[in-house]
Amino acid sequence: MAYSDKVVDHYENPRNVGSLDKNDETVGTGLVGAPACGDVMRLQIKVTDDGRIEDARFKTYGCGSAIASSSLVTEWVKGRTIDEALAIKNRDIADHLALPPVKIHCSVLAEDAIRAAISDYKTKKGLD
Amino acid sequence: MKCWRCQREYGDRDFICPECGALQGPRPDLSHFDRLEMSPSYHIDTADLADRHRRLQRQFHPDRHASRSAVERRFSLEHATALNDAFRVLKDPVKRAEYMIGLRGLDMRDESNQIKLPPMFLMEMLELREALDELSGSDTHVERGRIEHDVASRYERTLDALGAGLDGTDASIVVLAQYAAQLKYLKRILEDLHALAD
Repeated sequence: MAYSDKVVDHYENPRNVGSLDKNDETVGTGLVGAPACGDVMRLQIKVTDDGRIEDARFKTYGCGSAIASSSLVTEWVKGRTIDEALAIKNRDIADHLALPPVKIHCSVLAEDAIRAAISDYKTKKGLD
Repeated sequence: MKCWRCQREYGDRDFICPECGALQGPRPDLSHFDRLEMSPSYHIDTADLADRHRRLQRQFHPDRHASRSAVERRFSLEHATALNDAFRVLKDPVKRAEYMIGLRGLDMRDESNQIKLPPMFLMEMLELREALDELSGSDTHVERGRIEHDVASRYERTLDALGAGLDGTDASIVVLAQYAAQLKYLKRILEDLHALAD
């Protein structure tokens, strides 16, 4: 299967790979998996006091589309407020990367990961 | 079932019409277990499975049906293919388990299915992956061997639990699917470990 140029770019030069301190009060960690293919994705956000995402990191073990989806999402969430980040839909990710139908679940995984990271942050802050 | 040639009814187990002797096509509604004339169970005797496959396969060998009509020769080939598919799935412990979960209505290959794995498991898988990434240099084969041993024994334990669950009555379909999904993760890690060793 041919990957789009954008997927190849993110795969070869992934943005924001790595980790943030998961015990930091201002860091939210989302950990999600795609059982059908054995992928695992961790997405972390660091949030300022006024609710803006100042940093994001990811680590994904999976196919090129899963890596590209999570890499793209870390770029997109930086500088956004939590609510703005929650508005990112898997459709946006899939469209931007031109994912084929069989790889749509990779973008779903990335959306799930943002939601999980934000939910973890909110729980830590007692915002839920 | 009705014979395609003489339109008379024939028995569930017949593949040759008792009235006119015509060879019938394979029934689409049979499970892999039905096809190999076994009761559906995870714990099967694989030698017995291979014997059944060989015995049934002989009945559909092209040489035995060479003098039949084109339709019947095609049917004999379809029987042989269906038997091979059934054998290929049932002889493999993981494929057999996934197939049995499928018989209960959940398709493990469907990426949109909503199997959620425990966060603790996902964290362990990520940590294992990170540990593998850090393996480099000369004295890592001991560490790699240790990880491989741990993952392999965990794989066996999970497969045992899945098999017990499939043959028992207590485990829910969700629990079974979680075991099967965990096997996928563990297997991927084992495959990557083997690739590292090469």
